[in-house]
Amino acid sequence: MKYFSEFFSDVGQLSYLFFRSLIAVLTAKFRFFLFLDQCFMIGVESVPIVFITSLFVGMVFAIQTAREFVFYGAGSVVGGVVGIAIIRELGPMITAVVVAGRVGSAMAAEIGTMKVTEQVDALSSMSVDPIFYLVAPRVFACILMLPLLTVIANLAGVIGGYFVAIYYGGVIPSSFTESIKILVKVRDIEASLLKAMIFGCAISLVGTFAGLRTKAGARGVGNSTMLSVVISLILIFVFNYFLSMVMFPR
Amino acid sequence: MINFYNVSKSFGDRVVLEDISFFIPDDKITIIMGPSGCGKSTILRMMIGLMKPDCGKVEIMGKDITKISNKEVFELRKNMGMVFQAGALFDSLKVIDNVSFFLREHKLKSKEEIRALSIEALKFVGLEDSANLYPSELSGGMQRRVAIARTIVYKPKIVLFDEPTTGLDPHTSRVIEDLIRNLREQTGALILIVSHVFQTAFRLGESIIYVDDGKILFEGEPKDFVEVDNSFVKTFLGPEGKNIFFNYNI
Repeated sequence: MKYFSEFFSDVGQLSYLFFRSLIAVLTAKFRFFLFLDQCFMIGVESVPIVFITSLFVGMVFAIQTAREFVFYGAGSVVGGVVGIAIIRELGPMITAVVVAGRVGSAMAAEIGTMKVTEQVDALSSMSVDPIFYLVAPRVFACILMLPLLTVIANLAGVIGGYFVAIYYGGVIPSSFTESIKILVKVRDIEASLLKAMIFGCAISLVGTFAGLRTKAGARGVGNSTMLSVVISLILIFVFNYFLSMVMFPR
Repeated sequence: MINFYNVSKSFGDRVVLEDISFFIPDDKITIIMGPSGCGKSTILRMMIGLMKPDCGKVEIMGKDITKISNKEVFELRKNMGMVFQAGALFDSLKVIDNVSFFLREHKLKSKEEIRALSIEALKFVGLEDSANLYPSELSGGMQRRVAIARTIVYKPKIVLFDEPTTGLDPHTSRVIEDLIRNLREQTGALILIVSHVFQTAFRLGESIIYVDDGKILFEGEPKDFVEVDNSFVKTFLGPEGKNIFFNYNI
């Protein structure tokens, strides 16, 4: 019973954080420079790791598909299969997992440290709403940056898959690109970006929430950081399943 | 300006404050004393609205801070400043940006005026040469002086100090005490200090409130405090007993 009430209390507080962040944007209390700062940290600084991880996931995916498909005479659809898998599922997922590990944990650690050193209270004591100052810029930077990173992840994954399919799997280059054009729809790209936005929202809310509820010194900061990554990862995988069910019905 | 009426506060089963009432005079430096964990800092946090009592009324400048809206609390806080125990400086900002934070966030002055006022506040605490350093580059005593500058820069009517000299060497403690005295003389602000350090209490205090066992056991002048016939007070004063006042009130 206790766990249920805690669960619903946490969900309620996460919703509260989101709506207060929304109010910050709508009432012009949004700190634009902090937002830009976060965009740089979440977006620009994540590009190399998102690119490299997606590139290799695309390559691995092509290793597993290209040879088999060519063997069974379906080499002409390898590009489309790689494209669909990367764009619909792997691109947004990898981006979200990387950002949860790199940025979500940093958010929890930074805000958690501010909490235990009374910096969050100092903000409040100076009539500055910590949600407007700390949470809103991070949440909206994450919501904006995740889709942009996902575009990079999708491109990197498809490029990686292309080279492996052609040089390792023996797929004809023109059939790879043609099948992408035929099988991958605009709707897939839209769904990919929408998923990324939802993941971004979840990662940032969980990271900032974990930071704000940090207690008990250095250990508390460590716990919050760990918790933010674990919960974000679980949410990413669960949300991804349900989003795929809704976005790609039979 | 500050009145507590029948305030109680518990954390779980532990009763920290039990039906306490007192008022803080405007024209004296008041010290709230008591052993660690007796609820001194809880009282301060209630005053600035960072914590709510379980029951009772906390009146600040004629308004019951437990009853007013969040927006009103934020407005009220613009007249109040709090110097936290370890400074609670924003470690990602330079000293000058810490000091100018309130004025900048509330857009109360032009950029040039804000800088001038911040430098003036830093001069008051003798740290104008450290304007471009980060808090991590300062000693503990310097950090507390910056915290004082950050609070006085917007000239609040009420200044609350949470353990301003705890953990500092005697010389630095004296510097901080002199700053607080000068602040009182120059601005006429209501000064309330929470401390368990005798020398700070007896050098600065014009009025003492002693809290122990969840209750107020003494309210009055420092010289009368050492005469109190109460076992809690006697234990707190230790073997020096009433001589402690003469030893520290130099």
